[in-house]
Amino acid sequence: MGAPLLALTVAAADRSFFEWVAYLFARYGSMFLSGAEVTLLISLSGTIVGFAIGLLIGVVRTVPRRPEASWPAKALRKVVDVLLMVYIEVFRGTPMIVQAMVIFYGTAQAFGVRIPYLLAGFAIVSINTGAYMAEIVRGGILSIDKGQFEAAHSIGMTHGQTMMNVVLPQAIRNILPALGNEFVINIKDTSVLNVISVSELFFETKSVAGTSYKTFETFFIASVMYLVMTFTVTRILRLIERKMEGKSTYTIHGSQTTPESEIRIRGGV
Amino acid sequence: MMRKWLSLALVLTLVVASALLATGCASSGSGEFRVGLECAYAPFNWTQTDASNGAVKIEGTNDYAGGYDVEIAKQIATGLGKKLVIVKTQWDGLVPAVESGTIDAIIAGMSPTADRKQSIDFTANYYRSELVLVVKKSSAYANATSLADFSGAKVTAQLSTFHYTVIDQIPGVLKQTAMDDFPAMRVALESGIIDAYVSERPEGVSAVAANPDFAMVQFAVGKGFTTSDDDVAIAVGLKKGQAALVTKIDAILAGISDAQRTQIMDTAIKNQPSSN
Amino acid sequence: MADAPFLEIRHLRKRFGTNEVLRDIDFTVRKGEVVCIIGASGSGKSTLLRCVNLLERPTEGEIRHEGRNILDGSVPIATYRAQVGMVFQQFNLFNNLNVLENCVLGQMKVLKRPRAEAVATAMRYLDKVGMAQYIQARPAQISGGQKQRVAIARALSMEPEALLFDEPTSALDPEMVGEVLKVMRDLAHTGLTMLVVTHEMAFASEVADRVVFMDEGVIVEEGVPSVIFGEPKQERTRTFLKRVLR
Repeated sequence: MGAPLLALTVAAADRSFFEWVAYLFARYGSMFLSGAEVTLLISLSGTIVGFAIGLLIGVVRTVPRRPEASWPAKALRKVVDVLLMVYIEVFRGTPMIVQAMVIFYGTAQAFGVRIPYLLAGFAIVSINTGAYMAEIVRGGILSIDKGQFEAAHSIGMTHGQTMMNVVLPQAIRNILPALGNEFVINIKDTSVLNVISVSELFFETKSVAGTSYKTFETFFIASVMYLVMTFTVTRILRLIERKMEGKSTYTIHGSQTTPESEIRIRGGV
Repeated sequence: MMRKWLSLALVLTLVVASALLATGCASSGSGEFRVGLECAYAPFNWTQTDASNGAVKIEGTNDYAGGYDVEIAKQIATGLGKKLVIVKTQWDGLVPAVESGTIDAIIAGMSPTADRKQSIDFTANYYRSELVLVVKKSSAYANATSLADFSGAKVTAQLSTFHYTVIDQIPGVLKQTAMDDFPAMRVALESGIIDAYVSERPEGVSAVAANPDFAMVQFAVGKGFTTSDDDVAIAVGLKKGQAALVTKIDAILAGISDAQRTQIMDTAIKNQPSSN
Repeated sequence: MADAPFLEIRHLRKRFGTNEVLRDIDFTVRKGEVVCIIGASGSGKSTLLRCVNLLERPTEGEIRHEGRNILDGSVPIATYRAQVGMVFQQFNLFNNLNVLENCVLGQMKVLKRPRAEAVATAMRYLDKVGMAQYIQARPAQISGGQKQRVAIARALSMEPEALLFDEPTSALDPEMVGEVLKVMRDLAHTGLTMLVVTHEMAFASEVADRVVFMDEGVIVEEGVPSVIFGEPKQERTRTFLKRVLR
């Protein structure tokens, strides 16, 4: 705590790089922190909702085709497939900054509606992430052994029940690394939202650099903050992964014929 | 197990979404004069953390905007009888913002170039600057007096501005790739990647004051860049088709004399929160 | 229709593209019967089994369950499948759930039983197959033989009328085959209709009420084990048995 204050006492001309870093953080800390807060808020909610969108789309796209279904059902399926494909291609194939401009300024122009900036940022990140996650989820579902589906169907479970209880838990466990990736990407990519007036970390950093003329030091601070955010996020996801795996040991329970025995046996993976 | 995670995630998102909605739901009151600027380009516009020296709160943040552009915006808002709202927007978003009506005006040190006039309208100028070149004090170019002295120099300027086009006026120049913004150019100059960058006098003065290694090269009349008024002056950008508003703002601007403008600019240069 | 046969298959055909795997199969199963289907790989026996619980859709033909054709949409599939369970060669236990939950899930989701009842039922059948001590284990932590026994308990927990076994011991190490066959032996003739595709000829000859020999998509011969194994009428049957019974 004393270091930044101490840095303030050093005369401007004599400051070293790190003394500048300390000084800038002490002076503009509130801007960096509020920018980081916005970045984290938008990327967190955007990634979660994007994941939900991706899950939904992944489940819909993997509904088994039934050749004996009625033709209106088949037509509906085809229409839905095409719409989803268009959504995925468009939002994966265009830069997020372009999507931000088109969605935010486009809706304002066309409908005269001014969406609150943060909400717009959240929506854009969600929609964008959803397109990527849809394909990741689909891949995750496809990687699950067909036998899991067959076993569930053979005891009479519907597609939805199979997905919710058997396939998705396993698929999500496999997808978590990719989700972490997407989260990290979003933390950094929210920087493009400055074109729609969202004051996230990068925009705030530019302001500080522009007014203090100390570019290296300012962006050094920003780098450290981005790193802290992405690192924390990946660690938390790693924790979730491990929780989903369950314990690596199991307890043997007594049956009706043998007494209760608490023997811990180390099982496989 | 799955259900627990799902409901947790859902609750979390709902909380966040409502927080975002609450913070953002600003009613588009017609009593507001919404002005867009970057707040990153001292001494025209900058961001500061407190309200000193008459800075205006930036919408959606806890920071304040100050600078020449902000002072002019304040005067225009008063003249129009509206409340000034500063909307911090990155450069590329300014024109779409005013076109779509999410802001009412651009007062961001923007020049009324012919290209821009195709998309938006401009008022009369509210500042006229001169072009200078910022160099390192230790370089040979520090004592230049004419454009010809920069022959063979590596020169750049900001992307998408007329600053970049005028570089061609230097005979034998080594024109470098344009850069995103002034902080990037200052870094490039500091590290020797470029020999000079094109700027306007106020920014040049500020840069030199902030960095003792820098020097500014000003040219006597006739020895410097040839520019049109529309290029070196800055004006207020408005959505097309608002002749009445243009007239009103022009009238307000006419009430600010050249002497007053110089004084406001000098105050801004003094007040900017640069390294001190 | 109480006196209709449990399962009646008429003129069943199944094509995969241009490959005709099942050609004109006619086949009946009575309630409580234990039928073993034998034959070389590629003879279509697994496909026939999978058609019975609709994991494969027949190209042509009828499959009547207690008189009603399950292929024309008149029978609710989920209910039918809850009545006709399956045990797979690859076990297919739900990897994200432990042994107990594997047996409880279907009961709660499909049969809508309350959890307490589902757990009690599951424990009963797990005890029957000798896996009650392993309820906390996950599939990856137990051996193949143990997995298959759990798979049988899972199918039994649905308290179906019939169980289909698709080569249940083919993926097991020899020392584990015995424990699974024992469970199946104990199940036979308890009222459960069993349709078993297998290579275990000893099991078939000891336990089956009827043995069906398939080759290249048709049923070549069927009859009681003593006839099929002792005095097979068809040349193809004899050739096959000579190869496998050494």
